[in-house]
Formats: sequence, structure tokens, C-alpha cells
Amino acid sequence: MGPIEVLWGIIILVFIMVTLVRGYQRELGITILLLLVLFVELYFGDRIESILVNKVFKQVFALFNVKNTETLQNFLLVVTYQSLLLVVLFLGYEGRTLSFPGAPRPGMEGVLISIFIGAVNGWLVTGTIWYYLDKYNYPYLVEWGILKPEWTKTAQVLMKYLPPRLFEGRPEVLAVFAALLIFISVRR
Amino acid sequence: MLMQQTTGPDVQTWQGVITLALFLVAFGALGWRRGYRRELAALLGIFIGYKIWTTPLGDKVVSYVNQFGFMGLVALKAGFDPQKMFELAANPQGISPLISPERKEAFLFFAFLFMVMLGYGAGYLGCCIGSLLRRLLDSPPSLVGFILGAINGYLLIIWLFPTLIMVLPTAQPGVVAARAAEEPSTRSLILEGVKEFAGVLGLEPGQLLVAFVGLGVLWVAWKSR
Repeated sequence: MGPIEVLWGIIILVFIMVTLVRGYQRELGITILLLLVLFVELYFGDRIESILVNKVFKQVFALFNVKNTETLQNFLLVVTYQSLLLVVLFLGYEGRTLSFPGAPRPGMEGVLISIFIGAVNGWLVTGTIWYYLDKYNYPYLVEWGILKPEWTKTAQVLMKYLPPRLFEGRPEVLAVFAALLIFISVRR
Repeated sequence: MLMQQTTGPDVQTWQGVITLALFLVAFGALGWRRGYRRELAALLGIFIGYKIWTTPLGDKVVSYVNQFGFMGLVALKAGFDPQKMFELAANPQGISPLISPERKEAFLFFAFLFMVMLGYGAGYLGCCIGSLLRRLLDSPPSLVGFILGAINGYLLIIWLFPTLIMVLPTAQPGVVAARAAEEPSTRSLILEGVKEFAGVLGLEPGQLLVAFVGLGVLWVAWKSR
């Protein structure tokens, strides 16, 4: 596998292309959902993790006599966090969600705004996925040799600016920002 | 001043005069197009900004910002729990002021720039107060606008240029702007400037970037209503 930041960049590029096709008004609704998911994961994450690890996983692992529980536990935690994000993302793209009613800006300005909003959404999604994979030591990806945890300098810099890392001390900021966007979307 | 070591005083004088005249004409033309009322608003912004930058009024502004900043930090640290907020406010150890004494000068400089921007942008704001201001500040192109524009330009030149010349490597004789931009000192100046600006707001440079991205998203959302 090539450098992880290349994969990261390609996924962001996909989000930009999706935004160019769908229009940035719809994508702003996805931005709101992503901010709220990130807030929930950061604000309640520790509590949920503690319940899962101490009450659920412990008993289940003991019941099935599972050995080498650490990797499996990390994998299940990653799946828990990512599934919430992916379900909300799926619902956001599939269902009728918040979207901004105004007409898109014509010409190059609209294209540039779409690129900007697409990049922000891509950064929020891929940044969150990357953060939780890194937090739990890339469970099974390293063990099975899919990923080698040898990061380039660029990757190390990018990892400092993953959205959960930037907001883990103050997740309320995300909720306030999402609330502001909702306020703007309902205000005429 | 720029060419003092390489050319004679006469050359220096006429170069200075022509440069100043060009600046004044440029600002004057801007004033002509914007109209005299907008230029008056800009003049007011420049004047208030300068007062904040250079007089004890700045100390008062810093003190107010620190008070509000302290309240905000206490509320954030206490997680908006009133009981904890009272406890933290009574014992504020570990909460450093938003604008520390060593950052004060930088903050006041940015406050001056902000007031200048506010003065120039007053007629272009997009919200309800903005539309009111737009109606109030609309005026046709006129010679008065040209003169006021030139005065604004002159004030900005005499107040900002000494600050720039102190730090920019272009102040060195024989160093042209394109070469100066490649100098490590210019790059460090830009990086340190961003760091300093972020520091004034109590942020890391990366956080400042994210704050700008957030503002960008808010602006797009506002325009997409």
C-alpha cells in the first residue's frame, strides 16, 4: 500500500467530485450531520467506550473464551465509532435531509465554493476515520500486513490536524457551530 | 530612505515624491469611485483604529477583551456549570489572560488593521445593518470623494509604512521584492506573523486555519439561504 495520505487525499477528492455534482447547498446539510456525529463521538465517546469495554466485551469474551482480546476489542471499538459515522453519512446522502434552499452561485464562483465545501466534508469524514483507526492502533490492518505504521513527514503533520484531534478538548465548539448552521438554514 | 546608501539625495527625493503621488492618486481614484460618504466612514475607521493603537484607549480595549475572555474561558473550563464557574472565578489560577502583556502590542496593531478594514468595508456588509449602512453611505462619484480618498491613503502610508519598513527585508537597498520573498527571513516573518496573530486570539496556527475554514463555511451557508 502507498502512503496513507495519498489514500486520504483521494477520498477527499471523491467528496469534492460528489459536491460538484450534487451542489454545495445539499452538502452543507451533510456538514451539519457530520459535525453533530463528531460532537456525539467526542462528548460521549469515553463513557460509551467504558461501558462497552467493562460491561459488554469483558463478559462476551469470557463467555466465548476469546484469547488475544486486545486487537479484537480495538477492532470492535473502531467499528462502533465508524458505523455511527457511516450510517449517518448514508442516511444523509440517501434520505431527505437538511439542505440550503438558495440558488447556487453561477460560474466559477459556484465551482470553487463546491470544491471548498467538498474538501471540508471529506476532511471531516476521512479525518474522523483516520483518527479512530490511529487511536486503536489500526486493528488487524497492521497484523495482517495491509498497513505498515511507518508515516511520512506529511502524514505526521496531517495527523495533527485531524478534526477529532483538534476538537477533543472542546467538543462543544462543534455543537455550537452546527447549531449556527442550522439557525442559518432555517432563517429566511 | 530606501535608496539612501546607493543614490544621491536628489534622486531619492523625486523617487519618493513620485511614489507618494502615485499612492495618493490610486487612493484618490478609489475614493472617487466609492463616493465621499464611504470615504468618511473609512476615515473614521482609520482614526479610531489609530487612537486604539497609539493611545491609552488601547489599554482599556485590552482590559475589556481580557475581562470577556476570562469569563468565556471560565465558562468553557467549567463546562457551563454555574457552580463550577463561581468556584473557578474565585480561584482563577491556571487561567492566563487572553492578551498577555507581551502580546498587547501585536493585538493593538491588529485592532488598528481591523478598524481600517471595518471603515473601508462598512458600506459593503451583507446583513440587515449592512443594508441600512449601504443606503446611508451611498453617494455618487465626486471630487470630494477623491480628496478624502487621498487623505485616507496618506494617513495609511504614514502610519503603516514605518512599521513595514522596520521588518521587511525589502528595506535593504538593492533587494527587490521578488528576491526578498525567497529570503528565509521573509518566510520566517510570515510564519511568525501568523503565529503571532493566532497567539493574540489564544489559538495555535492550525486552529486559526480551522477557524478561517469555519468562517468560510458559515459565509457559504449564509449566502445559500
